[in-house]
Amino acid sequence: MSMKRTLLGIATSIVAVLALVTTTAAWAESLPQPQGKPLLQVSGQIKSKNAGEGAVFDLAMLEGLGRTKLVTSTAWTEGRPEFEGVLLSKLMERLGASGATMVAIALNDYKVEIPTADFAKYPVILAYRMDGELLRIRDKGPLWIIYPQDDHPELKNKQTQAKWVWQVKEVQFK
Amino acid sequence: MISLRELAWLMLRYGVLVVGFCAFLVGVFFIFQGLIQQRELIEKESRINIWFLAQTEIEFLRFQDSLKDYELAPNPETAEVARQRFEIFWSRLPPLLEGTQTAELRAIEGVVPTAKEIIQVLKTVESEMEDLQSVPLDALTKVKRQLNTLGGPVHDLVRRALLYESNEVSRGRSRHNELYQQLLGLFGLTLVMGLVIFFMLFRQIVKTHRAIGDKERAATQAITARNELELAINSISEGFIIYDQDDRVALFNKRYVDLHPQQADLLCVGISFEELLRAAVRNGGVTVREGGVDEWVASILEQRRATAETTFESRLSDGHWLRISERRTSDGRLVGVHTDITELKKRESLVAQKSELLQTTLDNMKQGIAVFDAAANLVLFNNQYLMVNHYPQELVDNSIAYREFATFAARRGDFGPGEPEAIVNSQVAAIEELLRTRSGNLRQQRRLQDGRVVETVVTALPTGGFVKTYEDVTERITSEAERVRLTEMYHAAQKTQALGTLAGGIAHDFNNIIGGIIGNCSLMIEDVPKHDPAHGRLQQILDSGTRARDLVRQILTYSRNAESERKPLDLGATVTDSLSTLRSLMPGNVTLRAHNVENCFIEGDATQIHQVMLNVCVNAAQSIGDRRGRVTVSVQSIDVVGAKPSEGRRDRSWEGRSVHGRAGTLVDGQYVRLTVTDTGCGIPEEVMPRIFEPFYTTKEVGQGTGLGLAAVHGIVRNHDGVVVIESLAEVGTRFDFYFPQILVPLTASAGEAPKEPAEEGSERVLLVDDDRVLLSVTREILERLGYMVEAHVEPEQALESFNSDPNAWDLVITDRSMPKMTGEELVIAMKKIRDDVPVLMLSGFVSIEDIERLTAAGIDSVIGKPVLPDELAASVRTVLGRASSDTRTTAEPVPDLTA
Repeated sequence: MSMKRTLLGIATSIVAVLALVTTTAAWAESLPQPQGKPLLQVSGQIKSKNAGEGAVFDLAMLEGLGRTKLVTSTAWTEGRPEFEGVLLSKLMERLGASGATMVAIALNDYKVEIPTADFAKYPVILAYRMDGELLRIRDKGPLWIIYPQDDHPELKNKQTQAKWVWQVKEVQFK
Repeated sequence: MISLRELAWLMLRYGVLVVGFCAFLVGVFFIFQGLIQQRELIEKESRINIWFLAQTEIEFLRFQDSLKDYELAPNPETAEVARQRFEIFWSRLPPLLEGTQTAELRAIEGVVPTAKEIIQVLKTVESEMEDLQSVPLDALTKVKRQLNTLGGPVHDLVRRALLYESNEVSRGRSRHNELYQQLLGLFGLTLVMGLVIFFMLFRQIVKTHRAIGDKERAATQAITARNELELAINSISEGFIIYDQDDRVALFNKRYVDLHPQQADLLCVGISFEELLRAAVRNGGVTVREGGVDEWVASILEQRRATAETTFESRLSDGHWLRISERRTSDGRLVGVHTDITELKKRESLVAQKSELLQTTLDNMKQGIAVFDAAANLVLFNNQYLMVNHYPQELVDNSIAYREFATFAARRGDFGPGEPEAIVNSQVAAIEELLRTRSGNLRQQRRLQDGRVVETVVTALPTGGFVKTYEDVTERITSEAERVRLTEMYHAAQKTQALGTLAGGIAHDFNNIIGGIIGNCSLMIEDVPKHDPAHGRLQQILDSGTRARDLVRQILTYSRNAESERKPLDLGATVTDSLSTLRSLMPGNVTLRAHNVENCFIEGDATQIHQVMLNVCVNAAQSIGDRRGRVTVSVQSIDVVGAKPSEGRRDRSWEGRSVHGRAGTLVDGQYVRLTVTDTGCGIPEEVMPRIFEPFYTTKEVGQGTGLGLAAVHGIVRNHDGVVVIESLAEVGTRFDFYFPQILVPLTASAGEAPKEPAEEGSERVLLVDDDRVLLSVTREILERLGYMVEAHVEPEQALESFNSDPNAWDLVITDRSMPKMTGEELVIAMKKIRDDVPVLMLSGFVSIEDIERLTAAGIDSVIGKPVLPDELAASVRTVLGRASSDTRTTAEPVPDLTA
């Protein structure tokens, strides 16, 4: 397992480096301060910052990173709702984030470590809308990490299921 | 047992199987491990679901706490926290109604209604929670009460879940345990089965391996056996070949090729016998008439098929002989063994030649030979074996055992009288004893019924068995007897010779002594008047002297050294003369008669014949003794054929009882037989062999000299005659004298010696004698007859006197044996002076040979000493008369004194 993890780490690092190279111009721009209600806090190994050592995003900023829609079934909902959010890869790109692991922290302080390689491999999004509606806390919002499990059946497993973190309030790259 | 190497090979070959089986076990092990993990996961999942509900309850409690915090310090922050906690709590409820993740929870009875119920309550307070700061305190309290009512349902959710999980986990665990046990059982069963299968497989492998090993060993042994067989076959001295069921060569050895060099190029495994036959015809090994090869081959093959076993001898074109033995095996092959018997054939031929030579040699031997083996069975014999024993051919055709031959001979009486079986047993036992000791030999003589004597000699052979020779020794036995007789005669002759030598040696001296006595006595008788008493005594002295002289003469006669004057003689007339003289000598009780006296001529000496008659007839009369008896004399001409007289006068009543004696050997021819038969007491058997022995006498001392028949023997021998005596005790004795007959007398009057009267003379006589007495007596006798005598004791003086006037002497009378000069030397010397001087020699010992020599020396006559006056006068007168007639007619031949 550790070997596998190491291999995945190496692969992720390579992808990250490539992404870094291609997005040098993007993260070089300074991150604006959030105008609306802060929705997400980012810390850890990032280059673009707007709040001390970290970065804070409001909905507009997240939406400004590009809106990505993803229709998929989930283990927690009926049917196949349409999610809208920012690609975590885009987010990392915008932040100039590095690190093999992204720690997602929920409102109830629940933490899950997610390999950043997943974001290069799959269009994993940080959803803020479901079926066009902003996610409320009661709807597992404000941010919900969504994996494209219908498009990639190999993701339908318990390990991946654990990475579907609700009510994300903060992410850390390390 | 499997060796380590084989085991290693086995493990290597079947290691894969072992590894596979181990992998299977490992797989099963990991399946178990997976099961255990799954079980843990199930329990974990269960716990997650429970945790979800528990977290819902926790979020409810946190919401309550946040609400309390707001109540204690109502501000926007605590209001926001409370609202956020409200939202979070709410967010825990919808998943209980939808989504696959919580489907299991929904299955728990009461969860969905409770969740809906809670959501419903939450909806009632939603507006207040949205704007909490605007909610009055009492309203908040109402909200709180409403929310407090949710504590029970929320906890009930957890409780229900816990209960459910407990049941499910228990059920799942038991299901797992069951499955686990089943799997464990299956694993155990699989393991056991695997082990059993592995064990069986291993056993099977070992068996297979062992079988393969056995097979390989068997194959190796088969190869080794075949190699050894080939080696053995190639090592044997016989040619060896095997044909298969199709009559093709399957195997052959080098020796076979050596024995058949003409097949060497062609011979190979697989070639058919027929091809070999045809090849033999092609290369000239077999000669077959042209065009008849196929027929010949077919006949050979047919004969070969029909014969299961055969042995024959074959001569190859190169001269070698082979003994070919062929035998068909039970599976239809044909095994041929070819043995080179060339040497054997040569030996057989040699043996046959030697056997033939041996048989020829045996058949040409004088002896009969029979060879018997250790079991006393006849194995070899020659023709003489049958001939000597008079065995019929059928006997050897039908019998081989020695006992049968002995039985045949015993029954025929060859072994003499007795029980045949006992005789045979004795014979066989003697041979068995000889065979046991294997030393020496067994010699037997048996007289067969036909009179033949057969000598058998059994000699044990060193190799066992014995050889028996049969020899007809009848002739040898006869010859042996004859040889004994001849030996005895030889000894007698030697004795006679010795006696003669002795007699001859002393006769001279005796004769001189006797001559002196007789001469002087004769002169004295003339001088003494007849009436004088001395005259009678002188006459007795003269008679005694005369007997003494006769005795000396008989001695000399017996020793064949006496002079003999053999002339053609009518034996019948001579015997008749003797009879007339003898009759006066016979006593009164004995009748002497002549019977069948023929006039037959022999070459003989009348005096000696008289001597024979005298001696034999006197003996005959003495054997009659005082009884009345008869002596019969006959003279006959006889033909002797087969050493037996053609006819005789033998009394048949004497047959088988009489005693026989013999001197000399009769050969075929014409004989004159003088027979003297008496009716006396006969000659005892023990006396007969010695009857002619000198000085052997049965008479009392003084009555016989023992020289009578010895002298007769000498006389007969002198006449080349034979004496045969046959005598029967108390019946009589018969003497047969056989003298060679001469058919034509040389001179009719030769036997009649002219009686010269004692004439007187006046011639001059030169007398020589070394004995003075005799010289004196002889001189006196001659002078009384009127002769003029000059006497000399020394021959030299006489020769000197003769030399002085050789022609003065009319006669020379000389002694023969003188010390300084012998009579012969003297006469020779005188004859050189005067060749025609008559010579009369006096000798006491004159043999026939002497007479021949003396005649050659020119001596006219020889007279034996002692000589009586009348005899001397007659001899002198005869010589002088012959000399005077010689003077008258010198052409007349001198009579041969030795004739």
